[in-house]
Amino acid sequence: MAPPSDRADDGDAAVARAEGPVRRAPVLLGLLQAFLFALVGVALVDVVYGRVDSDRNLSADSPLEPAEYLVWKNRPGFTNETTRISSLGLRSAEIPADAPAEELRVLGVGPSLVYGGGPDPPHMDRVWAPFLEQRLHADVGGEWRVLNGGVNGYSTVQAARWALQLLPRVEPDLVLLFVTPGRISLLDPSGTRKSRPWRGRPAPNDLLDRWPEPLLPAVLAVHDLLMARSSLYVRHRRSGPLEGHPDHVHRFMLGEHLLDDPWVQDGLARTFAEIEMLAEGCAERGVELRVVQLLDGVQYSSRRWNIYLSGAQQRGAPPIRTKRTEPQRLLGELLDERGLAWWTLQDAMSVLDARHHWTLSDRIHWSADGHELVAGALLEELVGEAGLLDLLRSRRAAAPRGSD
Amino acid sequence: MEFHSARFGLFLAVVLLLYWSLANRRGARYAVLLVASYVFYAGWELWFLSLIVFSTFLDYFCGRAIHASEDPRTRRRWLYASLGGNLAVLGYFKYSAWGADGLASLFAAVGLDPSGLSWVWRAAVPVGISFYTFQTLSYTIDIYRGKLRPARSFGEFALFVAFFPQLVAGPIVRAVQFLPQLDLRPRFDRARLHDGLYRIGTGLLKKVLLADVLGRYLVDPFYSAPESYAWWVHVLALYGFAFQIYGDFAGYSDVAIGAARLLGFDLPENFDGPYRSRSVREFWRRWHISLSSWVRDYIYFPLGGSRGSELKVARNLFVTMLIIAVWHGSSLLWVIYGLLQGGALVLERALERRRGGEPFTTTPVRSLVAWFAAFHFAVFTEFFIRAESLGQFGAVFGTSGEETAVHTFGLLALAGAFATHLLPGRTSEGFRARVCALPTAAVALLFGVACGLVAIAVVGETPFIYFQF
Repeated sequence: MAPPSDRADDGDAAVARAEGPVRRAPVLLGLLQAFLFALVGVALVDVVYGRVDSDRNLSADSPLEPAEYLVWKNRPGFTNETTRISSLGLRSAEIPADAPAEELRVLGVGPSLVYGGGPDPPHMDRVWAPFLEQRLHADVGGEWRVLNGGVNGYSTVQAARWALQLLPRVEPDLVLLFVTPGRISLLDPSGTRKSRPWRGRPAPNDLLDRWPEPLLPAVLAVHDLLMARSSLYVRHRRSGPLEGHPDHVHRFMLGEHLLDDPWVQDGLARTFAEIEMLAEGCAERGVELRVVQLLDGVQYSSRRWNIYLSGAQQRGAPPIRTKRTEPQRLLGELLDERGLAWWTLQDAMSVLDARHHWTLSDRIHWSADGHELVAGALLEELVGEAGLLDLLRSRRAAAPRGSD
Repeated sequence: MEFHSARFGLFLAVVLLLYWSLANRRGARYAVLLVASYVFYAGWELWFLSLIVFSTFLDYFCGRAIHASEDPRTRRRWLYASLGGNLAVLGYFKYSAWGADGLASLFAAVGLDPSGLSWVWRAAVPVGISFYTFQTLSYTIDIYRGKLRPARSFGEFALFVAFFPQLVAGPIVRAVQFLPQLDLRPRFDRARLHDGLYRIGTGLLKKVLLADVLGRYLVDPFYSAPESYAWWVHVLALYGFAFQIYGDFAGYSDVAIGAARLLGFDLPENFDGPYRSRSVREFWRRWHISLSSWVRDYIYFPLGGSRGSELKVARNLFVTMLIIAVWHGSSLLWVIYGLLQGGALVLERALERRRGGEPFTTTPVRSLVAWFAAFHFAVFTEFFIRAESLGQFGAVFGTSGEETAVHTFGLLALAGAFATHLLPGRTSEGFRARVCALPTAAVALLFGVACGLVAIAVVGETPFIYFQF
């Protein structure tokens, strides 16, 4: 059977052959032009996005700086109109050399809520730490110093490591480790496990593993440049599967529904291991540790909670109709299992959204009034825990600072 | 390697550079494309390559044998070898799990322990197997029918089977559409460059800003607990999935067509505003066009098409729609989907006969009524694509709760989908023409802005829905 047409004799092909060879220069120049202007387009979006996204970079004008082991930390000496970071990296005034030897010190560590962050952060003198210090002076009496060790974006792993580093320098009597039941706090997307030292600097594991050794200096230089300049790159390094978490836990909230998930199991195991290391460090130094349970921003009201549940079902949210306080209950159980003492600010924080016009500076972070409310709740816990005040006083009296 | 990943962008840029650098060396430029296509496909699973190579060998040699023989019986034997080999592979990988499940149910029904069937290997379905199997089948069938000569070389045929832009989710390209293009001088001009960038950019936006946002913020939350949502959320979620699957698949097709255009190839269109259709028949001329036309030409027409008694035509329509449905997936839900589509086509045909062949849409009001009916039929039947089991039918259509919380992003995406999809075709075409008439720098800049927006919206990996088919 003969075919009706023969491709070799196709008219178009004959025409094409007659046209001669392809002029490659205009084609390649056209592609190059398209490629360059496409990059300009991406860069434009990057710049605009960077202005909208406040939590993205570690550049020189940022209150944060890179730090090995912690990944980032507060930049000592950083100053702006609301903040002055102390030489220890705390958002508190310097501890004077002649501070009373028997003053009681409370060190709080945790994420931006503790730091007093957000797009419109309150002044460092109008956050929970100075408020609590004032209330302790007024209501309890004696010498108190409350230090704000909060750092923007910190996970519990980072906060616990940071507290452990501060123990010998701050010599606190009580450490408050603030924890929320969400992904950032409990599953640690910070990169603490995604980096390892390479030629004296921390470098992402995926880059170290994927690229050949001779190319690594160039690859890491590009990585550093993009981390400093590109908000889109930072977003993907932090949220994508490379340095963050897979999509199904991207909006994780503690619940029974994901306790069997390998990512969650691994994340929780690491988080609790760090808390337990901090607890051991505190015990060795005779320091009391309290894990303070905060609400996640989506738990501030029932309405927010329902919207979160309905919008994040495939991304780690507990099942629809889960009670708003269920994550705190479960977290309490997990802490109890490990013998870790904890407080919860659940009741005080439940009113934040209802009074948001004065307690919240944005949808998540507290205004000065919100910090005052939290400080009041902390005071209640501190005073309300039987024997805690006496324990702190007696221990410090037995071993005043500078006595050894 | 998903189309909406930076890795694919880099991959495409490197392939374009190599391909056009070797534009005047036929063998070398096609070798670049073939190697790139295999690298692209091996990115999913290396062993998937063995199947595509098997299919390529089988059909290349069957095609040559059919062409070389004058004896009708020999020719038919080689055709059956091609059909049998391809359909056996497709059937095994795509339907063995279904068969194992059915066998387990049968065991359980007669009181036997189904755990004894654990030896049945549930093979992973290789991505794109349905697409390239239909492509290679069209090759041998067209040679058998005398419409096509065999490929000039094994390499060129391998490139036809594995051409990476459309390898894993179509459009389904036939050999008669692709192979002749290999003989043409590589084509590249300003219009092709602009159109290619436009198609890729809009395809990515459809996938990430339309389909993924609808899925994440409206459809997935709803389907996780449909009974708890108020009735109007049910309606929104059904609309939402209709636009999600459209945006996902049409977006992929757009990127495929655009990427091919940058390489100098033309792929057939796959979508033409399907939700603007005013009948089910028209819908299937506008939805997944490359599949519906394939099934029409290779199954419906050979069965007799619309010739013969009404009973025979009805049978042909049901068989055709069932094949389209089962091509997508091996489940009872897909079978029901196919039966509903077949039934609707038969009903439309019967109504048309009652009107003596006169079209229904003779006035604007009638057109609106016809559009409304066809659109909502599509929305309703697509429930069977999204549902996880038939048991969800009652939860979606028979119950409702009090939950009304719907994420704003989901509502915005749905409003945007309605607005863009239901615009007259000439409006979107006019917009495309105006953008493509801009200078190259401006088109590329807009393309970059689209990529930037996609980069913001992409969180984690959200594979294309049609990869599973």
